[in-house]
Amino acid sequence: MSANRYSNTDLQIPRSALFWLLGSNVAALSPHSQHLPLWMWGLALFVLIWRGLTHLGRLSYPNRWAKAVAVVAASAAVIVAFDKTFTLESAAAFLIAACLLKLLEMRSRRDGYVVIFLGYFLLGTGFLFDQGLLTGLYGILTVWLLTSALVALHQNSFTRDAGSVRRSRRAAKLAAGILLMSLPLMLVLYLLFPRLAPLWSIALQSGKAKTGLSAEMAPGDIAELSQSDELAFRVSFSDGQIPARDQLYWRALILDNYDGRRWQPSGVTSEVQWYPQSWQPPAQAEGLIRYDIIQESTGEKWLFALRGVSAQEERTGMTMDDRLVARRPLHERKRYQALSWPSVSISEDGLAGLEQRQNLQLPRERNPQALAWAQQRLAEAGDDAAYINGLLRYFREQDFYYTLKPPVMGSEEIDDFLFNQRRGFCAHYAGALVFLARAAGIPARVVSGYQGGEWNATDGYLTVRQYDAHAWTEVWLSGQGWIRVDPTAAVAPQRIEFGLERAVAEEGTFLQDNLLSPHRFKGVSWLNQLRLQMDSLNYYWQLWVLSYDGKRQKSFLNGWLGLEDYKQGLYVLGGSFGGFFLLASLIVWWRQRPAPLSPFMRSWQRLQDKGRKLGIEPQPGETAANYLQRLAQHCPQQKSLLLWLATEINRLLYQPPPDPRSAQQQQRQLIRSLAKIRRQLRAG
Amino acid sequence: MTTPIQRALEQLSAVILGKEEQLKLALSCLLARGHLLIEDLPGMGKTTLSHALAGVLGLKYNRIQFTSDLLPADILGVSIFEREAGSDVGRFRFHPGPVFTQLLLADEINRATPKAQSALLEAMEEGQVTVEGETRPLPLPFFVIATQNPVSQSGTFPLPESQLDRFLMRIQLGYPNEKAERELLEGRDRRTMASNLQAMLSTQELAQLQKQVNNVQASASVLDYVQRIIAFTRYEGGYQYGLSPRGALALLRSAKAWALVDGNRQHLLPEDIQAVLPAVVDHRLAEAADGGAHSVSQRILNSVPVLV
Repeated sequence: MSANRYSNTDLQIPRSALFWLLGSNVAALSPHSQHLPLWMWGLALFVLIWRGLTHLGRLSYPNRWAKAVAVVAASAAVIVAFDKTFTLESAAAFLIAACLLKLLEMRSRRDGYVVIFLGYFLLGTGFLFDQGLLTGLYGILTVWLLTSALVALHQNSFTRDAGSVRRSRRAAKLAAGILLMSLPLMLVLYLLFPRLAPLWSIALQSGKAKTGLSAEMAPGDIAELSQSDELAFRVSFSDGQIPARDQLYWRALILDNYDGRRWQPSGVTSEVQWYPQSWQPPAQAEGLIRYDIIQESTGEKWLFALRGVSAQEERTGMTMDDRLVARRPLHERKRYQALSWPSVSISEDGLAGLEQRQNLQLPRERNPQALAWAQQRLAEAGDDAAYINGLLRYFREQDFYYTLKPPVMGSEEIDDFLFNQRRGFCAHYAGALVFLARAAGIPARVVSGYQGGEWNATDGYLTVRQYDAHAWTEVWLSGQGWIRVDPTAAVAPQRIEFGLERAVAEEGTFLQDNLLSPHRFKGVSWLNQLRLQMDSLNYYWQLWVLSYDGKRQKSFLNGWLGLEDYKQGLYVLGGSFGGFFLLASLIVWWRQRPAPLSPFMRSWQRLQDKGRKLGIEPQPGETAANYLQRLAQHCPQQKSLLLWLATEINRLLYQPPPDPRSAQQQQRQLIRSLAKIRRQLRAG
Repeated sequence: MTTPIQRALEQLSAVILGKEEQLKLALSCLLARGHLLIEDLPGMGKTTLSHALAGVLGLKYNRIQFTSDLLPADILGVSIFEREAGSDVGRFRFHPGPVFTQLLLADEINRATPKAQSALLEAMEEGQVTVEGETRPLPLPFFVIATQNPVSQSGTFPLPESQLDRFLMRIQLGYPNEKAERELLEGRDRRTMASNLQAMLSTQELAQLQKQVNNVQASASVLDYVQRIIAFTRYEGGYQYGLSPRGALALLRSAKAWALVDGNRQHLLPEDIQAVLPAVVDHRLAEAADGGAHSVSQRILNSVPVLV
C-alpha cells in the first residue's frame, strides 16, 4: 500500500481519538434514553462492543452487505416500534439508529467529522424533549466532550504529548479552552440572534401524551392526575400581593355540559376578547393581583389565572366566562403576565339566555333520587343562597369522605355517590353540587384547574404541580353573579388549607403510584431542603434563560440597547461578531508581536540607516564588525573610529563582563559613541 | 609570542600550500574532538594533509586503504593462535588492527562495504573496540580523517546521512592557487616534508587544548544567533528536515575550536560560527536541501540575521 493512498481528508482516525468519539456520542445519546425503545440500547451496546473489538484488532469492520442489512433492519425496527407514526420520538429514534450505525463503520477522519457533528445534532434534538437546568448543564458537558473528540481527531504522531492518556488530557484541556473562549459569542448569540418560532412547535409533535388537565372530566380523571408530581406552572406575584392559600384557585376550564357521565365545555361562553381590546379592571380597584406565570407546555390553548382575570399581553385574551387563553396551543413553555381582581362581580345583572340555558342543562332522565331530593331541599331552604349553604353543610355534617381511591359508582352516578357511597374526590363533589344546584334551578358550572401550590418563601414564587389539580364549582346567584363554591373545602378543609398531601395523609395515597418521587419525602427535612433548592434553581433557569423569547428579546433590545427592530439587532450581532474576531486577532498578534528592540539595537539600526544613505547597504547575514569594516572603507576619515567601534561592539555583545551592572554601563557608553559616530559619519 | 597552535599552523602551511582555511578547519575539528571527512579528487593532498597533521601534533599515524573486500577484522584486528616456542601448547593472541592508533586515515571510505564502514564508524563513536567479546579502548586522542572521492561513484557505497553525521566536519581541499602551485612545482617533495615535520605539541598539550575549547565563552547574543540558524534550518529555510540537536552542538563546538585556532580567543564571535558553518552543516543537510549541498550554508549565511 503506497503512502499516498489516503488523501488529506481521508486520514485514519488516531487511536487515542476513538475513546473520545465513542464516549462523546454515548453522552449525546443518553438524554434520549427516556423515549427510546429498549432494543435501541441493545443496538448501542452491540455497536460499541464491535467497535471496541475492531479497535483491539479482534474483529474487522463490517463489510458492505452487513452494513446494508443493518441499515434496513434498523429502519424497519424503528418503523415497527413507533407504529408507522411520524412523531418527534420516531424521528429521533431514526436519527439515533443512523448515528449508531455510523459509529460502527467510521474509519477515516471524514467519518469522524460526521459522527461528531451528528453528536452535536443529537444533543440539540435532546433539548426538544427536556430543557431543565440539569439537562442544560449536561448539554454543556457533552458539548465539551464532543469538542474534545474533535480535537483528538486532529492529534497525530507529531502531537507534542506521547501516550494516549496525556494526549486525551491535552485534548480535553484544549476543548475547554476553546469553549471558554467562545462563551462571549454564545452569549451574544443567545441575546441577539432572532428568536424564530421553533420548528417543533409547528409540525413535529411529541407522540407522548402530556400529563395535565384534559378538556373533559369524568369523576376519576383528576384523582389519576394527582398521582403525578410533574410541574404544571410557576407563579411569582408582583407588588408583594400574595393571596391567601385558600384563594389560590387557578382557573383553566369551565365544564358546563353534563351528559350524565362526563362534564365538558359547551363552548357557549368561550368567545375570546384579545388584548388590548379586552376588559381591564379600573386602575384604582382594591385588591388587584398582578402575577407572572411560567407554564409548562400543555398542547392546549388555555392558560391559568385567578378569578376576575384581565389579559395583559399580546397573543393572550380572555373569554366571556373569565378565563385566560392563548392564541396558539402551548407546544412549548410559555411565560405570561396576568392581572386579577378577585372581588369583581361577574354577570351580577343576569345571564344571557343561551348561557342561562346551558348552565341549567341536565339530563332529566338520570339520577331521579337526587333530582327529587334537590326539590325538597330547595323548598325547605327557601332561597337560593340558603339552599347552596345547606348543601355545603350537608356535605360537612354527613359522613362524606374525601379519598383518592373512590369506589366505582353505579349507573346513576350522582345518586349512588350522594346516597350510598359518600366517598369521592373533588370531581365527585363538584359534579354533585352542580347537579343539585341545576336541579334546583340555580345556574352552576364545574371549574377545573389547580388549587394551592407550594410557596417557596426564600425566592418568592409558587410552584404548582399536577397533584394540585382540582375541580370546584361556580354558582350564579342573582345580585351577586357568579360566585365560587368549593364543596371539597366543606368535606376536606385540609385539602384547601394545606394541600393534597395533608388531606389524604390518613389514607396514605399521596403519590402512591410514584414511589420515588421526591415529593413523597417532604418529611425528611434535608431531602426536602435539597428538593426546594433544586426547584428554585430550576425556577430561575426558566425565568431568566428559557423564557427569553421573541417578545422578551424585543424588549431587551429596546430597553438595554435602544434598538428598534430585529434588523438593528442583527447589525449589532454582526458587529459584535466582527468585534470578537478583531479582538481575537489582536490577541494573537499581540502574543506573536516582535520583541521590542534593545536600546543598543535601536541605535545600531540608526547607524545602519545612516550607512544606507551613504550607499553601504547592510546584508542580513552580516556581522557588525564586517559591516563596520565596509563602512570604514567607504569613509576613510572615520576609519579608526569605526574599527574601534567594531571591537567595542564585539566586546559588549560577545565578551560581556560577568557583572551585569558594568555591562549596562558599557552599553550606555557604547550607545553614546554610536550616536556620536553616526553624526560624524560622511563619505570620504 | 606565538602559541603552539600558531606554530603548528605555520608548519602545516609550509607543507600544504595556500590552504590555510582548510588547515585551520582540520585543526579545529581535531581540537573539538571530532572526526574529519575530506571530500575531494585524488591527488589533492588529502594524504599529505593527514600525514602532516600527525607529524605536527606528534600523533601515531596509520592508514587504511578501503576496498570493497575489506573486512572488519582488517580494521579492528584479529586473534591468532600462537604456539609457544618448542611445544605444542599455545594460545590466542590479539593482533591489534590499524585502528589502534591516534590518527587514522581511512582512505576512500566509500569503496568499502557497509559492513567494514560501520566497523570503523562504531569505533569512531565509542572510542573503543570490541573484538571477540573483549572491549579494548582506543588510544587517546583518537582522530579519524576519512576521504571520499566525489566523482567516479561506480562500485562505491556512499555513506548514508546517519553516518555522515558522525563526522564533525566535511571539507574540500580544492585546487591550489597559481602562486601555491608554482611553489609546489619548484619545491621539495611534500610527502618527505610531511614525514620530517617536528612535533609542535605533546599529547598532554593537545589534551589541554581540547579542554580549553570547552571553556570558550559563548555569550547570549552569539547563542541567539546559533538558535536562529537552527530554527531557520528547521522551520523557515524550506529544508525537508532541520539540524538535529547533535548538529547544533557540533556547530557550537566547532565554532569554539575555531575561535581558539583562529584568534586564540576565549570568547565566541559570530564570525566563528560563520567560518565553520559550511564545514559543519553542509553534509548534514545535503539531502534535505533541493539545490545541492553547497547552497545550504550559503543560504543560511545570507538570510539569517546576526543581530536582532
